[in-house]
Amino acid sequence: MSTAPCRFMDRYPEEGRGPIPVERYTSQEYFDLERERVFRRKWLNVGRVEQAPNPGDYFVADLKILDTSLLVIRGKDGEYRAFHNMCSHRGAPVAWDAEGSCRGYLACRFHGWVYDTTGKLVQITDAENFPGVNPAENGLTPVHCAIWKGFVFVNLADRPEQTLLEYLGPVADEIGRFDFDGYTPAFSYRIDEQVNWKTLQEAQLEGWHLPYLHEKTLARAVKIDGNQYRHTAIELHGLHGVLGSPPPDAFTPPPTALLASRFGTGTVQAFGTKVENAGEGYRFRGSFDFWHIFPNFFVGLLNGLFFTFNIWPVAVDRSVWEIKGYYPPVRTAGELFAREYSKIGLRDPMMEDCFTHELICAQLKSGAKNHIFFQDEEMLARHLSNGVDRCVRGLA
Amino acid sequence: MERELPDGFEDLLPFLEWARPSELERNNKRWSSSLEESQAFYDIMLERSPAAFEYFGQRPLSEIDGADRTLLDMCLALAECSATIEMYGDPTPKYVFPISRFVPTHDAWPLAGKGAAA
Repeated sequence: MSTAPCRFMDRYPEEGRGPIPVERYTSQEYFDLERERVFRRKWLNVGRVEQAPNPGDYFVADLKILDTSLLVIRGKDGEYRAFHNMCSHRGAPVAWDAEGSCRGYLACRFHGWVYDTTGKLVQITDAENFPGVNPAENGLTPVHCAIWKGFVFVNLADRPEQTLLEYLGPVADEIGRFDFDGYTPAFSYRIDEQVNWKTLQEAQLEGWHLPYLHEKTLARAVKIDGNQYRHTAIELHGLHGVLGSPPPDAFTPPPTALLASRFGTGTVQAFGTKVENAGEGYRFRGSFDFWHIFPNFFVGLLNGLFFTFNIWPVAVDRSVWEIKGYYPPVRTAGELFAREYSKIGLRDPMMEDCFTHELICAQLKSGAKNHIFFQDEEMLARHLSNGVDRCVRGLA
Repeated sequence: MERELPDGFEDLLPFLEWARPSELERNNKRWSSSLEESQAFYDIMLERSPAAFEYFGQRPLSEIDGADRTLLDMCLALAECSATIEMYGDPTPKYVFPISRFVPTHDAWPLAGKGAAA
């Protein structure tokens, strides 16, 4: 039985049905507005607490679009704080490594000014030669920082319009039911691409392309309904949203998947298996659920693993895609093999997605087309574009 | 001479080239092998990996090194090679972004090859 057309457009009429202007992907002016009205205002995920587990641990997050790099540090009091990674003396970075640990104090390597984990300037070296410089007024410049379920968010506004929990709204409760405990970082990819940040996200915002672009890889692990992929669910929650992917009616795992499954769950199997929802835990919409947290963060939930994407605009036609996967800790060779197989099953389709990004970006610049189109199953991609546009126009 | 693989796995010696310690190197091996070479490695590893995992048993990853690590890296290479055989039917499929730009930054984690986070 095939699914009725336009079910999501009917449910979300405010999202419209019309074409999307190409200008949103190519205009420098539009990008400049995105910087000020999206990225300088909204809560942005920059990592997870596991990147700085102990007091004194820190990591650095580059936010090129806002011309800064941030120091996220766990204080001696256990609190996470974020600062511009910039010494008050002459602007050198305070932390020079992507991550590290200190014993309560960070000294600038340039001339030795010292800060504690709350950002306070505790020592000006050669202080007598800095007449009139008041340490109390020259600590590290703080950035709003909040933690939710181990995810570290920052907000670059002087005064955030909402708390992080207000910003996440119902999404916090929904994803919050997923048990994130017991997972450890298992993989991490970084791709620096010549592509607009919204184009990069759009392939992750719809499963409709799976039987086409991923014909050789993921197509076998999804259900085809009347010759087309149909999401089990698309829900919009404010600026955020989720899609659920349908498991196939029957799935025959290839030999290597069968071998891996003796030790752990392979991704293709995770995609291809219907999840039984039980108890108070997370309620899966499909065999995997993909949450988009506006503007540039994804949390993919599968049975037995989760992964995240952070998509960082660098320029109107350049972005960095950070992919991170989390699995239960592996202890044995068999478990490591199962995880490797699972990881590759995720990675190869993403490399296929990636192949399209720069080609689309380059061609959108041609001026040959003024619009592109999103169909009903691409509602979440439309929703991102609309959400950004509402921010740009001062409506969200 | 120090043995290159654990006793009982001598039949895998012709495939030592596949034993590479990082994802980047295993993927490069996958992409630089012919379909025939890939099929031969896939066939023997699919047959012999169960014995390898039995050999490793419940031993902690931290204790797997030397010739044992070589065998483990060959098992991990099967995960790469399986994509050539089971998914693409081609070691160099078109329309896939190169791994040289799809950087597996976890390869730099100190214990990445042994499954630990950092």
